[in-house]
Amino acid sequence: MYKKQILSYCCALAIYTASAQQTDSLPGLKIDRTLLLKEVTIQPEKGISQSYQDQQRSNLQVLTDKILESTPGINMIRRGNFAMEPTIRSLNNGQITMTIDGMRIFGACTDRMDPISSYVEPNNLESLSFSVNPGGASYGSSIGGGINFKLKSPSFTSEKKVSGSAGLGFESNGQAYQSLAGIEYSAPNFAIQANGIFRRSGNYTAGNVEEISFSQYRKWNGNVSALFKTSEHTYLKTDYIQDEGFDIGYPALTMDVSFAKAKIGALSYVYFHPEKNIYWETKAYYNYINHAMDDTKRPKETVPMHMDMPGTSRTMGAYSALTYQPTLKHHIKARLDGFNNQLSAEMTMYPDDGAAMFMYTLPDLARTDIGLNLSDDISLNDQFNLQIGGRFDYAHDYIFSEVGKEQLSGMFVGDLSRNRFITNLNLELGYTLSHAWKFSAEVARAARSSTLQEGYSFYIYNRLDGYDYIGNPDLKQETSTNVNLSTRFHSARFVAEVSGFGYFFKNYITGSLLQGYSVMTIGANGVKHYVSLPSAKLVGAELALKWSPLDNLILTSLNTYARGSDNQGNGLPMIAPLKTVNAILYNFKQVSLQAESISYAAQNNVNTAIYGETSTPSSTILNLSVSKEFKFKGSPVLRANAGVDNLLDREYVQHLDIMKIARPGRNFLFRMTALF
Amino acid sequence: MKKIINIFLLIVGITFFAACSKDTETTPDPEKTKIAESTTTSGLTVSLWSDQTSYLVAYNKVYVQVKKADGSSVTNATVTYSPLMDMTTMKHSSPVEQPVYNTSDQLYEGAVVFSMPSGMMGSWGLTVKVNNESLVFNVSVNATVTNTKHTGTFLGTDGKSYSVSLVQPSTPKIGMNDLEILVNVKQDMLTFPPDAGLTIEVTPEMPSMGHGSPNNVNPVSSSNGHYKGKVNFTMSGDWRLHLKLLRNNTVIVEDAALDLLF
Repeated sequence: MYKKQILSYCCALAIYTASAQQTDSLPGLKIDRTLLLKEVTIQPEKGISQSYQDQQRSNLQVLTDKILESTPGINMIRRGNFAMEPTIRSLNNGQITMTIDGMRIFGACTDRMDPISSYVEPNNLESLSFSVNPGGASYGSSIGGGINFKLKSPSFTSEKKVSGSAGLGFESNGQAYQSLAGIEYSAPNFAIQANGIFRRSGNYTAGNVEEISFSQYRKWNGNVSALFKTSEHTYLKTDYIQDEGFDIGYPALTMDVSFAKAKIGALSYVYFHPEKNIYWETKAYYNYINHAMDDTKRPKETVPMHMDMPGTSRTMGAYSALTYQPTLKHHIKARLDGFNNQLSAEMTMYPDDGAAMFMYTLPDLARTDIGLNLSDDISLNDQFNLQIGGRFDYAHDYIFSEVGKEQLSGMFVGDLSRNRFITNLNLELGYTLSHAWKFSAEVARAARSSTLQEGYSFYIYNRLDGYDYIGNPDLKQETSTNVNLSTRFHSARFVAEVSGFGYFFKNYITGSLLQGYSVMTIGANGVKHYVSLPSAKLVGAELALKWSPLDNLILTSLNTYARGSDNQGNGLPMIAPLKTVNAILYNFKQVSLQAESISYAAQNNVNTAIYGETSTPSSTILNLSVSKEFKFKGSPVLRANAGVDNLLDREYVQHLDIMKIARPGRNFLFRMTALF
Repeated sequence: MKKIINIFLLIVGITFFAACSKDTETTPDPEKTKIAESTTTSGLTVSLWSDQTSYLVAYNKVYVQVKKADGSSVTNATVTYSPLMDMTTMKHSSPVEQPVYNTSDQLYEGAVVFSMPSGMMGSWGLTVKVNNESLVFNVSVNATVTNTKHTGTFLGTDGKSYSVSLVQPSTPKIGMNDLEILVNVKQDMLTFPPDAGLTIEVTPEMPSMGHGSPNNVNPVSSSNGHYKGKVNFTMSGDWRLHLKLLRNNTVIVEDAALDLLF
């Protein structure tokens, strides 16, 4: 029944399915796919989590943040009610890669207010793909894999066809609303789509009926994508996304954002040959992110000195990616990519008396990276399959302006450009014992370069521990040996997936106190710079259960746990505690009802003295939702969805919430989306 | 006063152009400004040049060009400077570095620390002596930008008066800058010999925020009372250089503070 539901969604969504299907519909062995075309690297429990994503995405209105948040293994670092930063198994920032359709994009904000997930919206998203290990499946060197936001694409149709979507949603908490519209035109040799969404939210109210000031936001996102068939087996594709956020409050930080603008463009050439099982895409892209922080709306007494903090990030890059399945036994992927990213951020402070003071917080930093990915998924026999993969990067970091070099000359001696070779390798063995039981074991050697911020930042204030941070250009690569063991059992009515993982770090990058440095930020505790700890580890487990006692009733339980410790046994920062999400989903005709509880255990494995973190109490919230799909003659579909988040109006925080600002209290949601 | 100088300059200028119209004139670095010009009784044309548009209350490079009537440069003259502040009730000089000929610039290059602006308080006269012929130039000395202080006089714990002046950076930038300090000790109203026997500790500070900067290098004595080190300006804006002067581990001046703005 549930599958049928998905199937019906799928049919309705047929207009959204992409032509890129051809590639992905190679008879791949390792690609776990729903009919919604979500490609998930084989992390078995993700299969179970699909139901959440389906629910969340079906009306195209939920914030990308929320979709990510409901995915097991992903926790969000929260600084405000918008633009939360994803972590995968509590790995974050430079330890994971985030890409949009394979494109490297880097946020422009020095305070990590603009993770790139904030620049994509569900209505231009086809799927999210996750990987928890580096190597063959990745889009860059990393410790813990990454997230690729796959953009929706129009598709060629045998007959000319116009379709569209429109939606409206309202949330009681914060008086938030969103509206979206999209249109697609398809023909045998040409297809184009345009989508737009607008969102706004006022300040939300936390569980104790306390309004959280500076939690508002406003944004729009538009994208246009077109396909031009150039021959039987080739087509050209262009994508353009523009995303502009305004007046975004960050209650956890000392400043808000006056604007965050992204322009993302790409041109691809695709060769596909289903009979030969070849899909080969070559893409060139450019993106520009412009971001400005703002303290002018804050009460005067909380702003010791007015400052402007704008930042920009420019990335141009290209890749050529080939998927080839020469025989049923091999699934080969090869990818050659390169990018150049330029980051610049500055700060101007205006004292009440005295001259304005200026400096670069990111003094014109750049990285050029060339990488090669290779992987082969080999079916050894009916029972065993082996995946081997590797990624090899050459990264060149440098300062692209004289003023940048001059400013850094006060901090570091000599030429500051750095070259690094980075190697990621992974090996996975899968064993199918029977129809019901599957096992897999994976080992990986992960490595990543320090980020440009870790290498060269100039007195960037970290709100978490209250220190100004200075980069360290001589950081060694952070490396890790990753081990992952998982088992999947499934029967007609029951699925259980369990995995255990360990990341054993060398040269773990973290902050360390610099004695004798005076702080730049008024009120900061001191100055830290980035150093490499000799070792650190992160171990954890995930358990996912799905039980359908009746055809139209599904119970799921998603549980994740991770524990991190440094070489001295101190708890690592930003590690989410035990999380359990338990849900019951009942489908009746075209109506589905869902009740869900999200609980976090307390996190007490923290070290306040070293990492500035404090412990966080446990929390539980309850969410309810009901959806109904109305079908009409022809193909139009109307999806209506109503729900309430945090039904009991609990006041709560989660461990990754910076400054532990209370999360939203009870929130009634109403959404309606029409597809025609 | 200014008027007189201007008229003087105008006359000199006219003469100059008339005299040199057919000659290929060796013009110093175009960044330099001619402050004044005069002719000695023996017919040598002596012109004063500055790196700025006027001399400032600071350590000033003072350049002199000496030309014969035919326009050719005199390269082997003996040139000396003696600045004098005439405050009616009293007269005093200031630290001076006697010029030497620089063949590449074809200028005699020296320096004067003007310790106060010219104006109501008094006026500066700079006597330039070229081969025993003296010319007195009335020079206008302007204050530096508000809230800056490039030179100062500080009373030492040994009872002597010290003149501390910033030589470098002349154009500060964000980042590491070469720092050069000149220290002179006042012997009498007219004599300010350099003092090369001190130890200096530098601590930069942004007064608007109270923060300093790392990686500064204390200036050490190089020659003629000049001390060379490094100063790291992490931002642009107002900076105060706290200079502590010591002699044989005894603090002579606790805080000889100079202020910059860029």
